[in-house]
Amino acid sequence: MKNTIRVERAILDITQQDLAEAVGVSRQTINSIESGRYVPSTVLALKIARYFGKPADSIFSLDDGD
Amino acid sequence: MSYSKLLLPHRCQIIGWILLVAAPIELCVDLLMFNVWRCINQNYSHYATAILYFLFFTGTFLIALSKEKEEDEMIQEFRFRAIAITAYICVFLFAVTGLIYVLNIVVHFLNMFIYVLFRLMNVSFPYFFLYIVIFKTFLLISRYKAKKGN
Repeated sequence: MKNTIRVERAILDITQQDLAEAVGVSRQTINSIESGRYVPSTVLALKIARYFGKPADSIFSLDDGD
Repeated sequence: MSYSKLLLPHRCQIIGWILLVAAPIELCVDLLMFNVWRCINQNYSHYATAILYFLFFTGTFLIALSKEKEEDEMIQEFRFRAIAITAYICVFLFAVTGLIYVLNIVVHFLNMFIYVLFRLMNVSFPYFFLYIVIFKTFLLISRYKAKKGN
């Protein structure tokens, strides 16, 4: 699953740590999601989308292999 | 559903590490003081073995079933993966050692090694220990990649 978290973070000018604290996970988790190593749960994906004030499917999208 | 409710608080992990570190120290003290203590109490070796088992079992149990400092869903996925890998390794080792032990097809030296391994598989702390090693490896790799990614 692809995501645009890195871009969204850059727009808001926040660090991985800021986002991690806002959604209640560790910085490693945010880093893993950004780099595609970890696919978040629906709850976490919705929390991230709500934090950026955008619908979840504008941040997360299916990859070719999914 | 959050499975972290099933886990012990993080401070239990610290106690677990203390007990696990104490176990080899206790073993060294046993080996050094064996003759001295045996003169005082003939059942000393039984007590020493019991203490050693207690330290290893309680230590590994507490570490394996305690929360990490930041327990989140990715850590929980690492736990599931570690449990699955531990199960595969244990079943494989149990099958191989059991088979060789039962068929008695190897030389005496190897037999002893297999016998010890087979006996060890019948107690629970090696499973906990194996799980801890695999789980902590996942955590270290994740931290390393996160550090490298920045």
